[in-house]
Amino acid sequence: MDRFALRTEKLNLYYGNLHALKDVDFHVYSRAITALIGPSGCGKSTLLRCFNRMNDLQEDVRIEGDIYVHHERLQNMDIINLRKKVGMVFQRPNPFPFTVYENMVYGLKVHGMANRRTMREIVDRCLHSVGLLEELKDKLHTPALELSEEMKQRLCIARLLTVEPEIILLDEPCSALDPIATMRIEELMIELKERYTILIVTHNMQQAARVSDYTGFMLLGVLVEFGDTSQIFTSPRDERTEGYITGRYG
Amino acid sequence: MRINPRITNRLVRWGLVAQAYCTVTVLVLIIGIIFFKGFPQVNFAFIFSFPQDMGRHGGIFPAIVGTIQLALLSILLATPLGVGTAIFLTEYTRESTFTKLIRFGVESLAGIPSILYGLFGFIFFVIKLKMGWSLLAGVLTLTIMILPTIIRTSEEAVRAVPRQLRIVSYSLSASKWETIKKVVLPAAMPGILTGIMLSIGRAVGETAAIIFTMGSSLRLPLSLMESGRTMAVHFYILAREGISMEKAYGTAVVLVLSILFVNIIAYYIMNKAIARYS
Repeated sequence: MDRFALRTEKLNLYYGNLHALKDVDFHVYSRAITALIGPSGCGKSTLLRCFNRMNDLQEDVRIEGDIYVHHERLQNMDIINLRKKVGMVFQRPNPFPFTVYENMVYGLKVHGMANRRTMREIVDRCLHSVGLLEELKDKLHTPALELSEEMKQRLCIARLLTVEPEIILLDEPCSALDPIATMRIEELMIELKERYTILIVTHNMQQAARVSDYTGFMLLGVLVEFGDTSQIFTSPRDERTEGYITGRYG
Repeated sequence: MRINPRITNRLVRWGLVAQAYCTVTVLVLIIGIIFFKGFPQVNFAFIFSFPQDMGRHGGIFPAIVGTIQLALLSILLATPLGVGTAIFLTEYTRESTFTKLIRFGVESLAGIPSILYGLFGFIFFVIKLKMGWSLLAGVLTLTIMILPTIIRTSEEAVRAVPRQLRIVSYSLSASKWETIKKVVLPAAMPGILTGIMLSIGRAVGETAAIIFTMGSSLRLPLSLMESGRTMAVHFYILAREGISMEKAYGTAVVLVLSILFVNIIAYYIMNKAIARYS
């Protein structure tokens, strides 16, 4: 297995005239949790979205530099395959307005699966992975929008797992959740890192400290510092990092 | 002079109540008169037998069949065209002079009086394309006429589907077409159905455009090239030419009931769709 699941080299990104990412050299270790922290507008979500080309959906975005997924250059990859490999969980839980089951088989059907029994097995396995199987196995045909916010977010993670990604991008996945739900999702992340590479963007520094193995700190489009989470939070090398984690600004 | 706001309030309130009652009264009066005059005419034979002596006697079976044929066929033609246009406008184009032009065209088409559609259908389909007065000419004319409604309602419904849902679908590595097919269209379905129902209402109630294109034959149209008449046309001719006011009101009752029936079914389907997708 590669040491790095994701890697950028001299990555620059512009929204029109706005220089949103500046010469970013960033690594995401395989089978570990890497967190990106920094104040609002620092470019952490933008960086995250480069890895599954979600920025393409916006107009007027220009990207320079290289991104690698394992050894493959992202720009050469087929976008469908890329998004299969690199999945994403969003800030707001966003199940489709269908039933739980239809949400779960959406990705499978998109990839051409039709065998009901196989689909059912995958649905059960993925719901089990996120700890929802017990609660939902009799409610597969209820509308997903009737679930609690936490369950919705778990469902979104489970829905992602059905397409068997290798890398999971989480964009502030707990910001719409209460503290107990947040704690449970964090426990889930730690379980999932056994099998998946996880990159999480969070504005919650404590969360980064609790769950991640590596942390990157960003400010105004620059990756200021990157290292072991314990090192970043106990002995940051850059005074801007120190200023942020001690709460002097942000 | 300043009026006490409490009095103004009360006056406004009573004014609004009166207006609401006025509207309802008019509606009740219309339906009441139609039913009062027409209901005694309606029975099994009236619905299932052929008219005799220009409609003075007998039933309205061919007109019922003609109405169903015309409405169904034009909806079947107009829905794919209209929904397709709506998807093209919302998903595949950026706002430009071109899309504005299309939209302006659609709005203008929606505002044209139906008699002009009838005239166009007569000149183009009936005469120029030599279709004669036929079901086909009627269907094509009506299709053009209801297209703007379907495009507009579908476009609004498609536009109202949250962008986030599309983004999630892409993130699950769905392509654009899969996203439209499996997320956008199902989520927009209640709105699209509303447009279709409005169009059915229009198709069933239309006379001017139909007389010019489908003609007014009293026979049962058995092919696309045969003429026929709808209930609305039948009603118009019976009343206009003084053939039989009783039969005219009887026809009107069946017409009103069938529109009611379509609407009830529509609400049922729509509620199911809404329950499923929102």
